[in-house]
Amino acid sequence: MLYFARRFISLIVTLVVVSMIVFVLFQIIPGDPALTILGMDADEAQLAALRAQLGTDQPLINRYADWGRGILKGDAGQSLRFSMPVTSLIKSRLPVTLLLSIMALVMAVAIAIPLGVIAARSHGKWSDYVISIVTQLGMAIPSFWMGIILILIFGVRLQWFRAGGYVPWSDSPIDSIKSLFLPAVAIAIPVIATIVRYLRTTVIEQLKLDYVRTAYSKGLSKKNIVYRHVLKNSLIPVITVMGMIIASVLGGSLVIEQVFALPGIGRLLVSSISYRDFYLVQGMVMYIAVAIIMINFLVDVIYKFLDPRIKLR
Amino acid sequence: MTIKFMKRNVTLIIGAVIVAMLVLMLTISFFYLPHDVNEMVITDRFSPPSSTYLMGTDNFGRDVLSRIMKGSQTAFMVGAVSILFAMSIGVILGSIAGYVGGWLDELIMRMVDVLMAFPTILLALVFIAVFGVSTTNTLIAIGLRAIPTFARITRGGFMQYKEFEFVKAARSLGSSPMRIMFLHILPNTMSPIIIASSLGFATAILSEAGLSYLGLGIQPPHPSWGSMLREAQSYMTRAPWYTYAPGIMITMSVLGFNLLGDGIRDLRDPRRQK
Repeated sequence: MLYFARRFISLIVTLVVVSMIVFVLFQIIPGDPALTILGMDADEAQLAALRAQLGTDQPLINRYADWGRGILKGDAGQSLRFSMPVTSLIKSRLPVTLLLSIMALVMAVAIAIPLGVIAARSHGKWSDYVISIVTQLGMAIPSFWMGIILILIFGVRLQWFRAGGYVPWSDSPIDSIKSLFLPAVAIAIPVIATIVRYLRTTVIEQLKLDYVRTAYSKGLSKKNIVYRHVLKNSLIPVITVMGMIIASVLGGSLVIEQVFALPGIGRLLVSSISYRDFYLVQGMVMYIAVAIIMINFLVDVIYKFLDPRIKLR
Repeated sequence: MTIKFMKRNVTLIIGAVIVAMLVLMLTISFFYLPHDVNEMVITDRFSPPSSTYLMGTDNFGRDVLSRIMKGSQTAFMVGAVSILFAMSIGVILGSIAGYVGGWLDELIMRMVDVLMAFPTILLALVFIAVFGVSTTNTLIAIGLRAIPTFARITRGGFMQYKEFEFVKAARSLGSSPMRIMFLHILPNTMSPIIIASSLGFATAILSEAGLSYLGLGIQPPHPSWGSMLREAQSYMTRAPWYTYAPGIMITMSVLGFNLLGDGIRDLRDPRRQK
């Protein structure tokens, strides 16, 4: 129990520190939001009124407290470009990114686990070399180039999928999944490569352990040993990197949304940076950071539950 | 180099060959380019690969091969500078954390853990959003995310070596902590740092390409493989060949430095060998 309490306190501290960093970072940006909104020839009284309304005339600590309270309540201010609340913009874009990330993650795990085991079982054989070369390539190919190639082959040449764009889930769930299929593949490839390499190493290490020899001497088949005993133990270390994997899926979708013109969080973030829509960028960065920190926290907690050998301190 | 060595270190050799070819191309690009990188021949827009333009031309009629070659300067510059930046900060932080220990270690490593949780591209985007689009900011933004790796490795090495006899001997002879840290311990942790640099170099090239693809990295008309892909995508139905060269270059660079890093690691640690 003490472990969870400590881990929880460190979660809160991390969230506070990260929120402070995000807040202070966006104070560094030169320029006065009031001036940006009203333009260069606004008169001083109008500017002062708007500053008071936006709260930019307050001291830093007060502004941080206001902003932090807002973030907790789901109010991250107004977007300068869209004149809409930041959180409702995020909410409208979130389904695309979420669906895309989940599809990519499911795809990656479903393909990587059997492939990792196969790689480990063929340790030292030619197929091991092939898998190792393919995974190295998978990690090296930039996902956005993979996306372009996928569009060229399956969108333009074969016309199996749309060459980009998104069909909302409410219009047609099947078309929605179809429109996200190629982008999900592009995100999943480097993730698959990472998991396969990781799993391969842990399975090979597990296969050398005593309990495997015991299982063999009991007369169990190799297949049985690998899938029922070794795989379970090998997946535990993979779970520790799950937080990192989910983060890399999210990072991948930030870029891939651009390639396939998908109206998700990533495209909103990139275009807001170009438009210098700072409240929107700040709000999005904060919520993405919260999501990543929470995921890592959950992964840690689940990990401790799964492996009873780990002492709970 | 014996056959046995080559068979044992396939990874290292393939990596070294790819990197050597890239370095050769980089070197040539300083002395010779087939065409001027910014020369626009409007009549030759979108020419497919031919004897005049080995890799074809782009939407402005610029020679793709020359821009690819010039782009290798950008990629290597970004890799080298951002990794040197990350290495210097990471090694200093890691040495302090490992040697001094205590609350300072706790503080530094917590910061490193948090930084490590975020994808490179997100950190880079935040940095660019705040400080603006420029080459320098691209370098810092990419280097930032590489700091944790160097800090962790250095800290690990310091924790391990600080209790060794030679360190105790140096301390009893009255060497200053600075001298012990940088002249006695650091040289021993060099090989994992070199491995991390090679792997980090690959990541840096990939991140720069990603940022430039998004239009937030190296700015045109400066050639960068990432921004070439950005342009190529707009015209991909008209000139599909334009998307191949930059993509292959990024892939080969990342592959080369990853294999080189892994190869050196296998060489240093025989237990990891196949």
